[in-house]
Order: sequence, then structure tokens, then C-alpha cells
Amino acid sequence: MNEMKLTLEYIKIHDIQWGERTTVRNHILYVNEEEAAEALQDPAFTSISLDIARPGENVRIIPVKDVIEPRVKAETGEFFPGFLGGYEGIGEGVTKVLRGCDVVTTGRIVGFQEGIIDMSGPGAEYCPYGKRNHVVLIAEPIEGIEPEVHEAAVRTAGIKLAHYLAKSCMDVEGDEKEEFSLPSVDPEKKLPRVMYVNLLLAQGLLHDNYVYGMDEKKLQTTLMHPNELLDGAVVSGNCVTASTKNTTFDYENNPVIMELYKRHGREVDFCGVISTPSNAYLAGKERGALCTANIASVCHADALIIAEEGGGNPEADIMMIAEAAEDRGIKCVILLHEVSGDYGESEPLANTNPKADAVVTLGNVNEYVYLPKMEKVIGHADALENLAGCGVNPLQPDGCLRVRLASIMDSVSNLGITTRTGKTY
Amino acid sequence: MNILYYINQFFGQIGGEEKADHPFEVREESIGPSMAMSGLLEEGNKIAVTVVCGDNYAVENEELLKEKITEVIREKKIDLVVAGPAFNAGRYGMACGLVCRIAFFLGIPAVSGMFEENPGREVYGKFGYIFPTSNNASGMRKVMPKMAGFVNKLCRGEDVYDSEACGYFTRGIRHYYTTEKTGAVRSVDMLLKKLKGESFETELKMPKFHMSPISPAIKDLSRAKIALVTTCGVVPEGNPDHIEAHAATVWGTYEMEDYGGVEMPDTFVAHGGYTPVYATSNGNRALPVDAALRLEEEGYIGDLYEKFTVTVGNCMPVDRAEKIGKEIAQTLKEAGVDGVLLTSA
Repeated sequence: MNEMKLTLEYIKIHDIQWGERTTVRNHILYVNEEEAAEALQDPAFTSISLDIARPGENVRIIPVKDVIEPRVKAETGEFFPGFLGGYEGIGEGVTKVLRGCDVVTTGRIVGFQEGIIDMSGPGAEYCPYGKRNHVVLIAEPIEGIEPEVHEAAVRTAGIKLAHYLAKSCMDVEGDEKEEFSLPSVDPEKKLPRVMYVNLLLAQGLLHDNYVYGMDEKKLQTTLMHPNELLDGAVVSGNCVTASTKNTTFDYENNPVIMELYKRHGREVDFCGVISTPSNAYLAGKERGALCTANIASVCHADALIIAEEGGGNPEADIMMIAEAAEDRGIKCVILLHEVSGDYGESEPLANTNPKADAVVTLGNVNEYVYLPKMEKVIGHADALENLAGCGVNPLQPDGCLRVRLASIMDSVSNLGITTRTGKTY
Repeated sequence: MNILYYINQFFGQIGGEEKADHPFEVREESIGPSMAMSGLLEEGNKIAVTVVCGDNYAVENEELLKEKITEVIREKKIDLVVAGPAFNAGRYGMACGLVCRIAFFLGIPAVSGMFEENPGREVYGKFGYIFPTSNNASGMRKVMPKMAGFVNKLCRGEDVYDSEACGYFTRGIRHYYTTEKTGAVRSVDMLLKKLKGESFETELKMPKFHMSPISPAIKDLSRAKIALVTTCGVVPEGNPDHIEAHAATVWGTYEMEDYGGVEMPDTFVAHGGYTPVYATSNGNRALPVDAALRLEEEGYIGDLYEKFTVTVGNCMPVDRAEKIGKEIAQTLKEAGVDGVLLTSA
């Protein structure tokens, strides 16, 4: 059997500037704004504009819909299989990555919608994206657009822009290469067989994910090679629960997958990813738990790492999967966040299971932080009023915002991106 | 650091049980336990004020106690509160617990001492650093240095979040901080330990909830008054009670007319955790007034209670949900409601 090998070729980006031609020179990404906007034309939009946000700047992006890392297959020039590109070579060959610059999409899509990225100050400390360069896409929709049409249009425009940027830089030589493969492990080593369970919100508009362009709501629990995620097979359709949802960037760079890769053959035998929908219906959750345990059994897994996506009802998914697996003798560690009240005084979860005895926590979404006034706002400053996690009057007399971590992108991400944790005292 | 020290009438040398109604009193000088602690404090820490209050007075005038303590804390720029130790004195323990809670919600740390079984510890244990004591005042000499040592530690700004090492009863409060390793790295580390059968520490022990007993079934639905209650955040346009989209703190009641009639066209979804599209133009999709009215018409239920109770369930902490739940249940009970249809998002 030939092992699936994927090489990520990183083109390191230290800054973004406007330029006549979209390309990379001396680690600076130059963007031809007109050409980029042209590539994103969609009858759903009346206007498309781009902006640049850099770490340290006095800038707030709000409301953020998605964050995407620009990548492209070196052999075909395509990416995001099932959405924009085909399936040829996915998970194998060479993928070029613009490392250090992301695409951020904004847009007021519907009702309450979260997502702050601050490029400096305490907000940037809590937000992994506050420390990276971004090309921000601002697309204004036509009047009377249906929210689901608007969401799809912004989602598509975001991945198109990421693809456009990466494709325009295909001729640039990468600075570094990293190979990802899962060579079979010598049974003599007796390493534990570990799988990662990729819970995907699949609950309706604003709470959806897409695998190879397919709506996760309509998909069954699936066994995947981790390289498929690295190659853009999963795209986020989420616009809400900013602090705990996964962005497309997160799927391309899932930190648990990266860690398991690092330890493959040394401490663990990483034997695959199980992608499973976090359905709104109980039957869907029961099916997901059963099928996850079944795939783990077929793959002779000794252990699972399960990360929640979002919060609230997905707690039920994660507990049910842990129980189903532990009942089969498959050991689990779960990653989640807490809802422990303003002072950490409340019970942190709404759903529990005594079998979930190994938990990694990433913090408390209820926790308040103060964000200073920013000189520049990209997107819609007035979106604050409709930002879940901002309460009714987030604006303080001194111009600061008092918001909950819930409103800051990836601040308590269940994927274990941050170093935050909690303990009972 | 400025310290407020709270003691009861007995330790305030006013009298015993017969003086338990002694009202709230603020003293500049230290007395009894506050004097004992005063001698054990490091330089720069002083007991700015000693509050003496009768035990009955304190527990029977909770609101007044809160008001007065808050006033003193603000006026004297208090940084830290000490109460007791109360040993196994029930009402004194409750009073000390109340004082800890007042300080907690003002963001000020509170230190106390109680016997393990003191109801004050059981009820208010979350709100202060409570040190274990013997069950009577003979343990004063033993616990005072521990409490004072901890007060000094707090004043020095040291890490006090290890309850075992510090010696206080575990409060059951979550403290958040950053570590060196990301959550992803920690998850693999923890898994390897678990697989090897080595000891590992979960970062969150599964909480145990109080279970609510389920009411007996309604014998005759056709005579019952049924109320609609929802955590879906289906409110009239304008969200009159400003129910928050996330971790809500309030609930409201509305009538059909507030939503523009039975079709409920004037609905706004205040909930920030599910797709509001379907209920926005027709509140019935999350608050099924149309279906309930049909059941009423068919005689399947007696009456539909005209007031609909609404809040947002999205990431509401459990203790607040419990409090709001009790308030709603009480209100419905007073209105003669027999049963509730509860819809959630």
C-alpha cells in the first residue's frame, strides 16, 4: 500500500500591502484589490471591498463570520474540494500555504451574530487571530436578501478570496516544507491507537459545516484521513458562537490533529479522524454516538480525543460519544469550555456524564473582559447591539466595551488552540 | 490593605442569646477576635473597622445587612473582609456566610472560619475562604493564626487557588488562568496518562446537579389551566424587557396582542444561539400559541393561560436558571396554573 503523503509548503508572510499584482515578495503579500474584488462578483452583493488588518493596529473587526487560511494544490491550482475545486490529489501531493495571513469575512447576516477580532489590546490577547495579518472582505448584500442566501454568498466569497490569493502566489517558492503522513507503526512498539473525533455543528442556518461541499446535516458519521482536513475538505458555515465555533482556518490547522501527527510513531499510533455531525435532534445525537463508537471499533482504536464544537446542546453529543466509547473500553479525553457564570460560581456544564472523567477545559464563556475603544472599525460597529455575549449596554462611560469572552473569536475554542484552563478552588 | 472584621454580639462583648437582636454597629476599635487577628497581621494590613451585629438581627434583616455592609465597604475603602470564626454556631455561621456573599458580589475576598457542619458553610461556602474549625470557641487559638496567615497571603497578592495547600474548605468556584501548554497538547498528555493507567487530573470534575422532583401527572387535562413557557427568546418586537441573547439575567411575560395576534407576526428572537429565521416572522414556531389555542378549542386542555413567559436559555449559568425557574414557577402557581408546556431551543 502506498501511504498518503501530503507536503505543506509554507510561504511565510510578514505583512500585507496593496499592489499592482497579487504576489509575494520578501515575505510581503501584495494584493491587487480590484482584481481580487472582481474574482468575488456575486449577484448577492451590491459592493465588495477589501481592507487590511495587522497585529498591533488600533483596529476592531466586527462582526466576523469566518477566517480562512489561503491554500492551493500545487498540481491543479485548485482548492476547497466540492466547493470550488475538484477532488484530484486531495490529501496528497503538495499544497502551498500562505502562512501568516488569513482571509476574514464580515457581514451582518441575521439577528444576533457574534465575532470580534481586536488587533491590539486585551482583545488581541484573548483572540488567536489578533496576532495575525488579515485581508478583510466586506461584502454588502442586496436589499431584502434572505439570510441563508446571504450566508452562502459570504461563505463562498471568503473561500474564493482565500483561493484567489493562494493561486496568485503559486509561482512563489515556499520557505519551509512539512510532510504529513501516517506510516504504519511497528506493532512491537505497542503504541496506543488514537483517533480524533471531529464534532461538526450541523444544526441549521448559522450553525452548519460542509464536508466536500456537502451539508453536514445530511451526512453520516465519516472516517477521514487527517490530510483531507489540511486540504480544505471541511468549510465552516458558522456565523454564531464566536468564541467556541470552529472557523475554516481551524479545520485547516486543527491543533489536536497537529499534536497527534507530532507524536505519531513515537507515543501514539494516530489512526484517523472521525467527522460526525452535532445534530439538533436527539436521534441524530444517538446515531452520531453509536456510529463514532462503531468506526472506532472497526479501526481497533484504543482511545479517542473528542472536541466539542459550539456550546449548549453539543455538550450532549460529547458526553454521549464518551459514554459509548468508554462502554466499549475505548478511553476518551474530551475538550470543552465552561459556562460558569460571571464569577465562576455556577455549575460549568448543563450536561454531564460520570464516564467523562478526563476533561480538558479551555475557559469560561461567561467571563467578562474590557475592550478599549478602537480608532478604526472594519465591518459594522453597530453590530455590537446584536452581539451575543455583549449584554444590553456593553458600552461603558469611558468608551470601553464590557463584553463576555463569548463574543471574541476563538477565545475559548474547544479545539485547544489557547493555553487557557480552569480549576476549582 | 483595609480590612472589615465582622463579629456577632457575643464576640463583640455585648451579651449572649438575650442580645441576639442587637442592631448593626460599626466600631473603630478592635474587639475580641478582631483584636486577636490585628496582632497577627503583617505591616500595612490593618483592621479598619469592626462591625458587630446580633445574630438574629443579621439573619432576619438580610437586605438591610447588605445595604449597611456595602456602605461601610465603600466608605472605608475596604479591600478584604473577615467574618467569625463562627465554629458551630448556626445563626452566626449564616450571618458570616451572608457577609461573605455581600463581599463576593462586590468583588472583595472574604475569609471566615466554621465547623464543617455549620449550615453557614453549606449554604454560603462558595462565597468565602472558610477555614475549618472545631465545633466550639475553644478552637479559637488554633484557627486564628491560620486565618491571619491566609489574610497576609491574600494581601501579598499570592496565588490562593489551591484550597488544599491553603487549608480552606474547597469553595466550588472555578478559577481561570493560562498555562504553558495549549489545550491540544494537554489533551494528548492526559490521554497518554489515562492509557498507561497513571494518575491524571481532569481539569473539570463532572458537576452533580440537584434533581427537581417531577410533579404528579394532571388528572384531567380538560379542566387544567396550561401556561406556555419558553427559553427560545421569542419576544415582541423591540424586546421590551431587554432579555440578553446570551447568559440572560431576566425573563418577561407577554400576551398574544403584544405579538400582533395569533399569527404572531411582530415577533423578535432575542436568543443568540439558534437560527431565528423561522420564528422571526411567526413566533408560533418557537412559542406554539396557535397549537395551544387549538387544544383549548378542542377541549383537550381547559384554559390556555393568557400570559406567555419568555427567557433565553443560551449559555445561562445553571444557578441563574434555577433562580429564574423558581421565580417563574411561583408566579404561575399564584396565577392558578396547573401545568406548563415548556419549549426550548
